Amino acid sequence: MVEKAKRDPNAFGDLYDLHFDRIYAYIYRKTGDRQAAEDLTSETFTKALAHIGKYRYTGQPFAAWLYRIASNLVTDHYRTRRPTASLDEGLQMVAPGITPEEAALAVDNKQAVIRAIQTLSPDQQDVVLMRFSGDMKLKDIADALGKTEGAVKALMFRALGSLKGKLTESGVRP
Amino acid sequence: MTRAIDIKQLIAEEASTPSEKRALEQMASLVEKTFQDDVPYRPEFKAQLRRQLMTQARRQLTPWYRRTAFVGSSVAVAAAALVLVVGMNMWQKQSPEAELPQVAQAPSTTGTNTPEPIAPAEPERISLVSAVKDAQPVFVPDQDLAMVTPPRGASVDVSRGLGLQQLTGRTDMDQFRLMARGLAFRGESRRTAEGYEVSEEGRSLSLLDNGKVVYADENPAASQGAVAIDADAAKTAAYRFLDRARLPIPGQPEVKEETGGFAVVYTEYLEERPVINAQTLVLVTDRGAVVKAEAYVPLGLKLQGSFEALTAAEAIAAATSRGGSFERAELVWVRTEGEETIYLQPYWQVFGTDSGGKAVARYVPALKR
Repeated sequence: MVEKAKRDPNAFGDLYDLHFDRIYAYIYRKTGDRQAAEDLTSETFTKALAHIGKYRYTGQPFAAWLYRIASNLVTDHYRTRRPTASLDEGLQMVAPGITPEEAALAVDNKQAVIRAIQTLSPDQQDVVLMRFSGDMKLKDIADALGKTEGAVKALMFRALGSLKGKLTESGVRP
Repeated sequence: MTRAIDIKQLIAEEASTPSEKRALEQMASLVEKTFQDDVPYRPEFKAQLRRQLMTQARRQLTPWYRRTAFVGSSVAVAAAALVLVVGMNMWQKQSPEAELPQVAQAPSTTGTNTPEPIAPAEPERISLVSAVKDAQPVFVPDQDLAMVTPPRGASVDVSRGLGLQQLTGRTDMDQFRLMARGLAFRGESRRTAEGYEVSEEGRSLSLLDNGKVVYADENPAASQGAVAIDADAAKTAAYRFLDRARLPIPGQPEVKEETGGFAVVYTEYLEERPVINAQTLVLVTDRGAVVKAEAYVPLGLKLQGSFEALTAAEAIAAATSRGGSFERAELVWVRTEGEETIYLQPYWQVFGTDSGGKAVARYVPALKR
């Protein structure tokens, strides 16, 4: 599909449809700001279109390439603005059929997890978000971030350990 | 427990105790649950961005032959191809290797009959520095004044900068097959390292990835007429050839009579300025057969940006610094090839005499770097 998208505008539209949600979600969760998420998502796909002719398949999915663009843009965004600390509205959603108490607890737990993730280093945040929100494989995350797979594994392991410590302190039980 | 196999493996490899392994798996599971819900977004934003991207994609990706307006091709490999000596393998027995005179390769930027540059509808975010850096200048050798294709337009005010144009189209097999069919090739087209080619019965046709088309007929006897033709008929033969091959016909050609035939040379103009190193050339025998042709498929054109440029006086000074005496400068285009990108760069065509006293046009890159 990517090769076709280099020549066919409609194919690029298909790529956009396929990847919009995860790229938007990644940026939104990184910035915590809807306006920034829209701006940076727009910029990510605009850059992807401008440079799609240079994209070469090397075994990693196209999503990894998009994440790399998005990640660089978020980094640039942080250089000029402080991240907003608002909570992810998507986390307020709870599964139907549970009691109000359970729902409140679930929301509390999710908010605590988000807060804990926001305290991680930028690289650890990237790894956690790309793996659990973007459903990327660790080796593809390595490609997106320009790191080795070993480095990404180390980041993930340290991130989980750090989250465990912070959430235990907050009284959150998995 | 997390459902992510690779995370489970990672934890199993790295956790030092069973209890740590269990705790980390539960943590991974909690993070997994946290992100299982989609992030809400404004549907109107997604739709609006899609529309914007599709507009841009249509401008950027649509092949030249589907555009309502396009600027024709050109190619010519970078520096060396600037002045092309064309060998004409004429039918005449006495000079099978006879050479036609030097022909300056020129433009191919105008399409067919409606050459109209495509202007971007909205300014693009482009790093000016990197764009100029990507479009490296090439050395263009001095050209005999008799061979020079002069600009048509009035002098240009460069105080607001000059445009750098990028060719955006791509060649493909369908395009090549169409061309081959038009020229009555019946053989199978092949993909080569450089592009596409087909050959049969002494004839060959190739389309390089950079858009250059090369045609040769080593046995034109079959397609020749019995009666000798004149320059006008040679022009007609060249026109028909280009038309059959679906190649651009950029205006009126110059026809030069040579031993055994004619050289029909088309120069392409963009903004009234010639592209001086990507001309369309058709060699026609004096019996009306096309024995060789070089042309360029039309490629879409995009304004890469405007950049600070040398003035005419600065260009004259730069030309003079290389020896000789120069007094007048006009703007032309030079086709250059960067990494995966073909550009039309503005150059100054500076008129004067070289250090040997010969009247020449000297070429100076117009964009400042």
